Amino acid sequence: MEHENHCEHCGFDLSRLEMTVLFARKGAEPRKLHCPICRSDRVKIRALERVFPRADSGRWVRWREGGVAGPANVIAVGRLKLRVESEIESLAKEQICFRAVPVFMSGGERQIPVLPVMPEYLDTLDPAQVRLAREKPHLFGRVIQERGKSRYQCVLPLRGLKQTEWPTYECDLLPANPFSPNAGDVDAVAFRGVTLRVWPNLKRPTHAWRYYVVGIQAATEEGMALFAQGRMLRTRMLVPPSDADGRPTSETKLEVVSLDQEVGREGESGPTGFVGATRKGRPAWVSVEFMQATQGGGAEAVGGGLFPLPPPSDSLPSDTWSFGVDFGTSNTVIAVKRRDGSLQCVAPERGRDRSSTTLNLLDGGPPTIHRGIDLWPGGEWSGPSHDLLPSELGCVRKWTDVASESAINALSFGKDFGVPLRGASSAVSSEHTVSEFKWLRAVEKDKSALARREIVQALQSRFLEGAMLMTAASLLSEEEAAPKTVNVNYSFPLAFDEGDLETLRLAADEAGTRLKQLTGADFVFPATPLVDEAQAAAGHASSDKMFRVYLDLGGGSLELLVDDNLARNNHQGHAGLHPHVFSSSIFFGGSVYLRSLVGAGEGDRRGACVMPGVGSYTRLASAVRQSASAKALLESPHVIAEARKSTAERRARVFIGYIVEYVARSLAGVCLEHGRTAQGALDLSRNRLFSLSGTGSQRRWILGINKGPQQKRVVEFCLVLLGNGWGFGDIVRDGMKTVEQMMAHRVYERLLELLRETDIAQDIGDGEFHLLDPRLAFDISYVLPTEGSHRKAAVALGLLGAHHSTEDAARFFKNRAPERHGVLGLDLWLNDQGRRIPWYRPFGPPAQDDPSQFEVFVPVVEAPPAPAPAPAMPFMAPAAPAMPFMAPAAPMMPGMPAAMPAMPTMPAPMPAAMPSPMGAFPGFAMPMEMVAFALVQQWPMLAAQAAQMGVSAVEFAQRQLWQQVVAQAAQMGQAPERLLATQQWQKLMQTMVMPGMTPEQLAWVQSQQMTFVTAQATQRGQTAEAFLAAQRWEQLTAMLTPPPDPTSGGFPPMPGMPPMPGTPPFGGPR
Amino acid sequence: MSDFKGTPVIGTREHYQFGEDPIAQKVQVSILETPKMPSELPSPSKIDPGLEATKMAIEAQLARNAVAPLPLVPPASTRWLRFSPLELFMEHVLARRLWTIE
Repeated sequence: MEHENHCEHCGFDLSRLEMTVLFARKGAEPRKLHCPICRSDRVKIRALERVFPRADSGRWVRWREGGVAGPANVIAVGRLKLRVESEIESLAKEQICFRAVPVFMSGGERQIPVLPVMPEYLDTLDPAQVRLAREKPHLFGRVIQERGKSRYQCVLPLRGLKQTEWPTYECDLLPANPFSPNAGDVDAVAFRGVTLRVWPNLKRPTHAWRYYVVGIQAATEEGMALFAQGRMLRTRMLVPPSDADGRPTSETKLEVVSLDQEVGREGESGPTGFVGATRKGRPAWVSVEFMQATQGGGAEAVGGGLFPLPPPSDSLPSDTWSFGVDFGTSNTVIAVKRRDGSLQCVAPERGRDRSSTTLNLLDGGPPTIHRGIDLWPGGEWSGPSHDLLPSELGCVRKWTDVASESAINALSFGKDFGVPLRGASSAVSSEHTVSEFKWLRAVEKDKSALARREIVQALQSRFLEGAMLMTAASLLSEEEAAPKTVNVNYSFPLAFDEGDLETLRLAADEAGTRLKQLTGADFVFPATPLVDEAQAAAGHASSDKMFRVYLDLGGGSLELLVDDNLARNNHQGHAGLHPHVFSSSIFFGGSVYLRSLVGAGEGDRRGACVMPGVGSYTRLASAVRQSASAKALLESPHVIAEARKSTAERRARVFIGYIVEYVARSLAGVCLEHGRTAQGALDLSRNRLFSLSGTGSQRRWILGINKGPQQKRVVEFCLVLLGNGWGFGDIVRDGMKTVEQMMAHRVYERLLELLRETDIAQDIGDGEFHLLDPRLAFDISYVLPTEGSHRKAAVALGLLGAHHSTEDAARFFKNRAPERHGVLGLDLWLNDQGRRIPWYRPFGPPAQDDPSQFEVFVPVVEAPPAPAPAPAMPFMAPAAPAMPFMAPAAPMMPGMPAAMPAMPTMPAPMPAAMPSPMGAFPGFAMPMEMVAFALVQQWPMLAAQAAQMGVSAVEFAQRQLWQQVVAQAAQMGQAPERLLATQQWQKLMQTMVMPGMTPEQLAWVQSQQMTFVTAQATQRGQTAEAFLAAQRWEQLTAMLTPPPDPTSGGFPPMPGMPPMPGTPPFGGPR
Repeated sequence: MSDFKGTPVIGTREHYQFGEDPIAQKVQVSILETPKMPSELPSPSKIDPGLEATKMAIEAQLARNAVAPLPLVPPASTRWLRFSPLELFMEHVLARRLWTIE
């Protein structure tokens, strides 16, 4: 006895102390006693474990059985008396337990509560035993037979009592049917068809994950016994308080969270269950209680019990995950990068061997009651691969009733709102679901009350939060290691305007903040989305065709990317060109077709093809997800009215037909791409169909590429169809095996038609072939989705593709086009100068090339013919509005040797049809500054060649430059000196002429300038042309200096070109 | 044959960007419906009589952002325009009137 009431520091036995002490509480806890001898607070008094204040009320209690006896407000410890401030309540086990306990049939087995204790009295149990009950529930609670009656029996580990003192509690079983007697057959009184479930089902739960959803529901009609007449169901979860790291601080003093949201209520019917959510941590227990109204208007518990959840582990999250999110208008796909580098789209609940994301504490079997909107987060996703998450949000309230940012943010995922994986029953109004919130303009169509940017942002944020939670739950139901950091890559459609992009960015930011609170992991979204969707898809696979054409037809938009494979791989003269030839996006996705089937609009059935039961876009979209194919959808009498099938098919033909037209015109634009020089000459320097072919002296620009053993000339496009919108192509396949095949066939036919109808097609050639040459083949091929994958997976996978973390990312994505760019598609007439702009011309700023990567190609040039004597200078005509120098050649350029330096022997003459140097195309005059710049870029190689020839590098570079001048002049039918003089004159005029000048003003300016030039030339004893040419040559040769050390300051920007983004001015710090 | 008309643009360095004349900020644009659509498809003018809705979409686009900033535009191109009339037709007209196809 003395060892139970002594000071652990000095050993003093406090029970021998004859005195009465006022023993007050500090809050809900008793004050610490101090040893009167040594003042230590390590005082152990056994009796104080048997008499304790309650956590919720603060009232002192003692056990009626096995507890300590004594006066009503005194705790006797031997001779020591501890007087408390109020009367000590005497508590009996019957007071803390339910009068009856329900039994449930779960998965064919009997399931009973582990503890029969009411949640309010859990603190009266021994904490260690409560923990043990969660870890080993089979040790607690059982059903016994007693005098022909089934009863519940459990040992109650009451707080403060020794194990040998723990009383046994017995009570009746609560029958599922309150009117059936308990005849001893347990199964006869058991509840059936009841599901009690928890989401998520983490394989190895940690304290970091704090968000849980708990629901109890009647899965079948038998399960409706939960709501038997005369009883009320109340379910609560008991959540332990936690410290900053999420570790629970108590096993018995728990916070009660009610499952207060009804589910399954539809029309006049009652609910089928309740659901609740907590963001405070993993619940320890779920209390299922049955209440009965009392005469006083209150309610008393008539039965119930506690079901445990296994406790979380104490490990800290340490893993890092990477997600690629393709947030689509209709569906979302999330890919994950595994530790081994493999990529996989997340498919929750796929296959029988896979762990479910839902933990069933009670399994009522497959649900047969489908009422209302089902927002439970667990379950299979859509699509054949079960990896499509519908981009929809369902809400227990009408969305128009929560049409504010604060109201939406106050909703709890899985409880008040969620992703309706299994859709909504037909009796639920479409006002409870919202879709297409990726686009403000789509929300305007569907639910105008929500069409405000901040509301769309909140919807996107909540959806991303839900999608991330469901994905993480799916992975954690199988993976053991919880993440500390989740890197989320996401993309956006180019059809997004700045506002759309900002909305998505802010939504992602908000979702990341909320996810940190709910899961403990840092969800790191990039400050802005990395790439647009088509570019993301382009990163997923390689290609050996000239061009890959990515066509992502989603629910909301159609993304087009023409990717130059030669440029991507630095092949055949395309090095340095940005791979993205055209990249555009239109708000024209699969929803356009679906909405046309619904009719003129929501509630306006003009032109409708669908049955009234699926008369809303959301319902039709849900039917599409559940349909095997679009063709099957059209054949379904429940969806499309019989008499309207042909119309529905006709609309599909127009829908797909216009997409074919759009693609064909875009590809024709690639073929017909050109510009004009200031002189009006055809400039093909941007036409990607030309490639450098051959080696050595045979190297030259050709139209298309040579392919195959026969080296046939071919232009190749390879179509890659992405997105689920292509499913509608099934309707118009017309016997083709796949939609891809159909598209390739139609685009091919239409592309050739378009080229044949375009005059300029014959002008685009390399001297041997032109676009309409029958020997030039157009190859339109296609790529099928990989086995087991689908058309929508590529974007999410591409976001995680290797190139996003390599130098490619910097090369191709940093300099991506700032906005959409493609072809006009229709002829335009501009009234400013009465210009007609043909349909095949491009629009929109292109992606930025990298001139430093341009291939330097110096074709062989014959020595120029001797210059002709100069005629009279035309400059002196006083009012000549036309450009000067139209007359033939000028005299030998002064300052240059009478004969140009001896040129190295060239292996072969330049073909007559060959273009000018430095990678230019036929008719394209490469600016001389660019030639000089390219020479400087190759200075080491150039210097080596110069050394071989025994000349200085500068002299050698000057010779090379002169070759280019001669070649370019020859192409233009001019003498090189005249070319240089013309260029110099143009440069002078650029600085003199202002826009908006009249022709008369222009002529006057030219006249004045010419007078000045002539005067200067006369002073030097030169002609004006020779003077200008010398000036130009000096400027060009001044550029031919060895480049600075790249490590100290980088290369200077190319003359005449704006500095490249990210490149500091010459000499500046890098 | 050639779509190049008018004199080359000459001007200050800042403005001398185009082989073709740059577009004025305030320009009126008309649509010439070429090339012809395939016979099996209804033409834009059939779906949008007089192309009135398409013109409105273009005017709205012109009012918003018609012309790209000069530094973004390479020489000798028509890339100063920031929109495609075909794309605008598909987005703003066809998408809203597909239900009228019978």
